[in-house]
Amino acid sequence: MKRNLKFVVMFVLAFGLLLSACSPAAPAEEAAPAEEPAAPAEEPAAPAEEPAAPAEEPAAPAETGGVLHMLTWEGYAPDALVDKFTEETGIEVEISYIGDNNELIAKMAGTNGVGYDLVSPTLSYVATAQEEYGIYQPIDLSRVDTSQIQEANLNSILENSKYEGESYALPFVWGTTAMVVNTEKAPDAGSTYLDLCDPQYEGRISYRSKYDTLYMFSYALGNDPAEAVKNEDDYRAVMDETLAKLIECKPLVRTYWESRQQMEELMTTEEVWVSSSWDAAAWQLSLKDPKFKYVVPEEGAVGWFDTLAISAGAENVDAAYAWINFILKPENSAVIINDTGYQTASEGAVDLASAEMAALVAESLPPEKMASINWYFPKPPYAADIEADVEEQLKAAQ
Amino acid sequence: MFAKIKKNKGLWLVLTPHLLWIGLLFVLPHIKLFWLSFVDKRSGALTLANYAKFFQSELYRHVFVHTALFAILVTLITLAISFPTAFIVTKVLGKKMKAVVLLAIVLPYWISELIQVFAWMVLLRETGVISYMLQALGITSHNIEFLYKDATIVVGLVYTSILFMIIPIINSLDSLDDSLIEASYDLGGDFWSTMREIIIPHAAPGIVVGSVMVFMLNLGNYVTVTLLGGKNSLWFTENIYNQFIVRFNQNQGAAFGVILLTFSVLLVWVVLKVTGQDMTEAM
Repeated sequence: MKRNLKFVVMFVLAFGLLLSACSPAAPAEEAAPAEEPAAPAEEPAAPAEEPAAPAEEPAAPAETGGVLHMLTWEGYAPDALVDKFTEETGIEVEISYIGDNNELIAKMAGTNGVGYDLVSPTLSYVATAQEEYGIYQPIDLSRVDTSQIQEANLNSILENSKYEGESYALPFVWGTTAMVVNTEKAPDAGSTYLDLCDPQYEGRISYRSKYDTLYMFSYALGNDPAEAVKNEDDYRAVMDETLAKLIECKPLVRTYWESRQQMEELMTTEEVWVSSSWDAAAWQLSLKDPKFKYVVPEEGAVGWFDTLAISAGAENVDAAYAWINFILKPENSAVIINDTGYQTASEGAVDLASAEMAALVAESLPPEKMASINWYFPKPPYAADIEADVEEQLKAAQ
Repeated sequence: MFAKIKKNKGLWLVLTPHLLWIGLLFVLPHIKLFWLSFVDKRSGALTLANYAKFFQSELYRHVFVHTALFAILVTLITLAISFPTAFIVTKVLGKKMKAVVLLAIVLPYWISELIQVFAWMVLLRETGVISYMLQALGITSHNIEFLYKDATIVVGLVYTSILFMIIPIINSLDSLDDSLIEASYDLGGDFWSTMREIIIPHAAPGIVVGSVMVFMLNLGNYVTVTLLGGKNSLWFTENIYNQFIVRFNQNQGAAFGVILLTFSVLLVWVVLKVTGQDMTEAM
């Protein structure tokens, strides 16, 4: 009897161990795009004002059917749009979410892309991942309704996602990273990224210990990482200089934030006054309390572009193109703008978005700030290693 | 033993899911991990470079030693808190109170580790509950930040591992007949000598099992450490995570994983030898 009891106790414990080993999902790591729950209240009840267009659609998506497997960021495929899509085309949608580009590549490379039809990698990762893992298939432009995509964006993304002469991605959602400032506590902050290392804000500063912060400080130190990255030694030199600066600044930092939600908490509790931030996250803070402002310093914001790419192992290519043509319709893209605060490549979508959001965008990113955006650059394999070296050394520095 | 099992089909029926579970989710992945750690990422050739990288890098060695020492420290603190608690639960409390206290110990583990950590963050942050209470009591006049320190990590880890120490110790103390303790006093023993000569030797198997589990859990912890440690967290699991997710270097990550596993198994083995305990007996 005693032995049995012991056995049961040990079994329960072992099971508990297993559970505790399995459950703690890594903290929602660097979810570039937001973890915003849909805000359906703001949706432009659009369907009524849905004129023309369908005639131009290349395929007849109504007959496609089947299931579309998507791997994307939270907020990029809101429930309302998924339901609408299923209603229009009869295609069921199954979505898995990623919190990080490397996670996307790791998932795709594991199966050579089988299991996913459509994915949303960030532009700077497309060509390099294609070169190394061959996880995407070339875009067939004849199946895309290009008239609803902003032309400049379309051309630039097609060009920058090229590998061996083929383009692997279409433009989808973009945003910028700069600073969010509590204007009551730190009215003067925001003219340069070096304010993230200003002793007068000691203990009131936060940012990520990740690549976007490395870029910000590199630009602030007068270097151009986009140019330096082309040569391994140059890039290491630039990043070492940045690391030295960041280590010098470390005592001033409250903590390195890991997720958007954590950053928003640090700001709203006023534990932090000046932080790096994605534009959409900062705008959400502004909407709650106007004392929070998204500011782009003189070095320019850091910009990222998320794309639509088709998996090399896609089982339902028709459905993937149907979704591409569906999601880039202005009235559908406007839903994403309202829900997440990010901009899309859909021509005219911003005109259909809420006035509140449009005003915030116009205030934070006037044309001259738009022009000074430092876009994420394609990263050769050694760049990720150099950046990881810097991150690890920064974390370990006392 | 196997002859017995052969005759007993029912036992096989019960064992099969367990064997599948262990085989598919534990043994196979470890074999793969072990294999990966000896392969070069680029060329696919067999190499020891992944291990050499660890021993050549001062950073990785430093983080590893830091992790190991803190895991041991956390185990000792957990033991210091758990042993008296287990003793009181088994030998001092009445039946009813015992049930209540046991429930109170187990209850927090009904929620996941991640949520427990978030709760600690609410308590310990600068604008958090504890900082507020200290001010309300007039002990301090300004906000105090408790997060992002080594001490915070220790508090969080001790909290998440106490159950795994208390239950095995309770289990072993339960089988200690109270009359033995009385006999010790009758024969002139005092509190300390009774503890040293009677109670601790009897509880030793539970202490060893608990310590081994707590040590292993903490050595491999990721969530508690990164969230509570913030900018100052320094745990080897973060380096493993970086290898797999940031650098795409599964091979290097596998080597780090094998190093961590080997170290913990070795340490446990040494401790068992030194204390003269046998893991199967202790279980």
